[in-house]
Amino acid sequence: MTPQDVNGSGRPATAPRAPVARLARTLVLALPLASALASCGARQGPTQPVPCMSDRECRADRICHEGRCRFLAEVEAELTGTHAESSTATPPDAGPVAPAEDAGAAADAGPPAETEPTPDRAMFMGSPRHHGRSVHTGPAEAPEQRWVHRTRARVFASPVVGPDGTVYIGSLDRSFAAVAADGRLRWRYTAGDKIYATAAVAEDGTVYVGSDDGTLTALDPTGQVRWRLDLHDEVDASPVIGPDGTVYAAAEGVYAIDPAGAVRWHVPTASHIRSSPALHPNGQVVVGTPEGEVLAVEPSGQVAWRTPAGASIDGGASIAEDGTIYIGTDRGHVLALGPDGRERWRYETGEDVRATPAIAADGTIVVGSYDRHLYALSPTGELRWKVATSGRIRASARIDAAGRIYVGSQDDFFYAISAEGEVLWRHNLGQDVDSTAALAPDGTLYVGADDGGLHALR
Amino acid sequence: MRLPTLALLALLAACGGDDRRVPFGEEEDGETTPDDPGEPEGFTPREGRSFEPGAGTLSVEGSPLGVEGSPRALLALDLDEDGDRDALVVAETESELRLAAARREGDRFAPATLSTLELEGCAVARAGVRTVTEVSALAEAELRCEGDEAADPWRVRWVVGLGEAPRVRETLSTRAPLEAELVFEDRDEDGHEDLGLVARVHGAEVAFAWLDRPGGLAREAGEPEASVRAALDADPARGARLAAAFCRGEDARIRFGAGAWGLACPDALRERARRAEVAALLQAGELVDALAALEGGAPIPDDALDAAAASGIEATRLTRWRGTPDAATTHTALAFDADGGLIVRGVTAERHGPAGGVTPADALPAPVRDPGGRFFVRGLRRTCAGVEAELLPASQVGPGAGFAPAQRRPVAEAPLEGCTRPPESTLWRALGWAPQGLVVGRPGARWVAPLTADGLPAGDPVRLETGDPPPAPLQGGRVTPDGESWIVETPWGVLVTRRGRSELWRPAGWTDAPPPRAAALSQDGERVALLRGDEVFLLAPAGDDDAAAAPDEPPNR
Repeated sequence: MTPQDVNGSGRPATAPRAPVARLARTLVLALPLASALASCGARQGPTQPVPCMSDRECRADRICHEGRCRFLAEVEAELTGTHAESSTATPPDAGPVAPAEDAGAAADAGPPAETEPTPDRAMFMGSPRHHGRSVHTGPAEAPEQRWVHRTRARVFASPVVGPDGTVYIGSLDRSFAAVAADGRLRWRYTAGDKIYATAAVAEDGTVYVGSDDGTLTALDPTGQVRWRLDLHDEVDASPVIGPDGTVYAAAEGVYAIDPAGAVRWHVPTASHIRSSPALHPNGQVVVGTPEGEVLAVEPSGQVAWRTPAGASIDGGASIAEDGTIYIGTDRGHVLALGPDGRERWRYETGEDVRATPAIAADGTIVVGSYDRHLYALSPTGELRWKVATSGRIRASARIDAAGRIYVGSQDDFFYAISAEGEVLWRHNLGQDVDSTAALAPDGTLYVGADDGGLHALR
Repeated sequence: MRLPTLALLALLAACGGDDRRVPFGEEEDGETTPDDPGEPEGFTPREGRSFEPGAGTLSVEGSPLGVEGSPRALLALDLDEDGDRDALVVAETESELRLAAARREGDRFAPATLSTLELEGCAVARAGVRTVTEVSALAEAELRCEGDEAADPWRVRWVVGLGEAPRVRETLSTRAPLEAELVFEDRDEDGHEDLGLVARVHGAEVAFAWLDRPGGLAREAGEPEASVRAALDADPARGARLAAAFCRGEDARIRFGAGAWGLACPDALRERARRAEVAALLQAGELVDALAALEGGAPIPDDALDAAAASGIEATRLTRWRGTPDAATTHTALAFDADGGLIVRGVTAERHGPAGGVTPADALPAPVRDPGGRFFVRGLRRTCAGVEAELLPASQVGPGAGFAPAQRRPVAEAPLEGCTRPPESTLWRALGWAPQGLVVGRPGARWVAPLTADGLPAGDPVRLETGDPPPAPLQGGRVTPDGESWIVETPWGVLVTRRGRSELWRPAGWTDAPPPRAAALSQDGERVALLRGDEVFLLAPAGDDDAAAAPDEPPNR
């Protein structure tokens, strides 16, 4: 074995090489390194994207904001200084999320039970329970028409009165108007399609409007759009607002939507729902379906129960203090169900019951039928009285603080009826009255009609 | 004379034929053709047979014709006068319509394609072949095209010269409302059959001919242009429709051969016809269509515009505008306030009171701004897909504005067919901003673009149909707050729409000033302010004292 030279480190020393060869070897090793270093120095950092100039240049649901394509929800959150939170939160116009089973814990935040009567709420039937009672008193004698706000098509929706006295009304001419108490137009919003649903006004003044264009839109008190949520199906059932601000709407299924426009949960149904969701004191959301079921959904979005009703349901449910649920069917029945969905009794009228039953303070159920009668039923399902009109009754009744009942008929008249079933007066509005009235604190009655008018009566 | 021979052949054909094929049996009864009112004496026109799609292979006297495609019409006749029956066939393939002549050679046929036509997504509804004179036959087909089910079909006609070597003399295609008749006669009495055409559209008629020359058919010199000119002289409106139907363009309704629809009419004729068309629209009160035609480059019939304009509108020069030439700021130059005063914003802002007098005005925000006063519309931009609004923060109003990048939001869907480059000028205007969003319009159309308070999109733009209630209240220079009245200023006048009814405000001397650069409508909808060049004018119905009493006084500085 040839002894190897070892340098002071104990490693074998390399054999001495010629200077040129050494230089060549060095160059061979150094060149790639130098090249890499050179290219590193030449890089300017990540390639700058070309700034966008228009929303059309951006894909999917993104817009061009400050030269960059960004998701609308991100920009909105940035501008409002908040972040989207919920695990099921989606951009406001992105439509519904996965079925309720996948909602997760973040969605388990339903409304607390109602234990005390509340002042009139600016939504259909004055309450998320749809009892139809008002704390205000309406005209005892035949009123005069103070003014009428004209739209260009039928007014099917019910007016609602906001905290400041502004009256909100949608029309089949696609308009949604905010009308001051003196009849002046404050602002008008034009939807993409007809408006059948009654609006709901939150405590912060946000106005929720459903339209046949498939959207639920949140407007601020000045009429500007806060957000617009595409539910991909006509929204002609009136939304309601829970005590925590959650909005419950129905289209192709039932939705719970937070005030920021994010869908908390969605329970799909086989077909389109026209029945306005009602909130049970136990927190469940109750709705009727065209398949002839009464459906109750837990605050978490889980289906609690389904009860067959025997016929299609168009009207909303109303819920009494004791939790009894009342609802009408297209077979002319008025059903009473317990909080567990079990049927307690069933009353048969002559034709379809498409109105939402109102519930008087003494528990009397007041509801109209297509057989042209207004019925008053006891909590046990017995007839107390009925009043005949000359037309079908599609509208729901409202009950004032004095127990007087106000309801429209397709005989063109708007009726006031005593708690005992006596017709106090009736006012001719010229065409069918399918809209449910609203009562203002000053006693003014607001009601829409097929003449396209929002009528103020006092 | 040939009829007995043909009858004998028909009888022979009836005895033979392959059962697997569709046999050609008895011939149809000859009928006088409606296009041939004066057939020569001794000549009897003959009509062939028509077939539904999928008729299968045709045979004559037991021999297959061998023509490619699905036969749709057939006429058996002795083309070469050799005593046997040949055939003219119209056949359809997936992409073409074919006209073929099949000469019988022994027990076989030798088909030869005479002409083909690209179907271009169309299908044959009906076809037919018939003789029209001793020397001419007419093969025709009606075509229906995809996406055009509601329209009348277009009609294709081949004029076939008969003989040993049949040839197509002319191919004519027509579409409703143009109707055409072919006339076969010797116009120049040279012993050769010429071809005449009588075309009618909207009550106007033109007739001309192709003369038979050694080289083929030659169109009469100067026709149909001369006939179109004569029609324009007699009735400009009808003449314009005739010109549109004949001359190359999107409204052409006639085609010769397989080229483009319409003839290459002289520019002077086309201009004259377009001017007549616009004049006819104006006379009929179709202001929106007339303005659209002018926007498309039609010549300007000033006298017709003057005649169609609303009467009694007077223009008063109000003041000289002292501003920057920057187009980004010019459109913000004019706005009426709620008290009827006109704010003129140039280098400085001044208010011209309704009863006269000029006072300095605060630097008001631009007219078309959101309810929160945070954004304003810098302008509208036409794209091939529609219209976009350029939004800027309100702080950018005034000289120097426009240097900040604008947010562009789609505000109307209005695709331009065949657009590769959008037009630079447009009649789209930003009318006003409602709480719901921005309202834009052009003659005959308005759109709402929903926007949030932050100027972000809040849904797709929605078109407002006639009668739809507009969003309100609207804040903007060209619309009243209730949205019921609005204006669109154009180079040819101001289209003022009030409660669904439009009229053109075009005071005397309109053409003496440059086109409008900015416009505003008073909040009561009664007066219009225009910036033309460097002059501000007030337009109002005569007798509007407020407009007449607005002097040009310097502001009280």
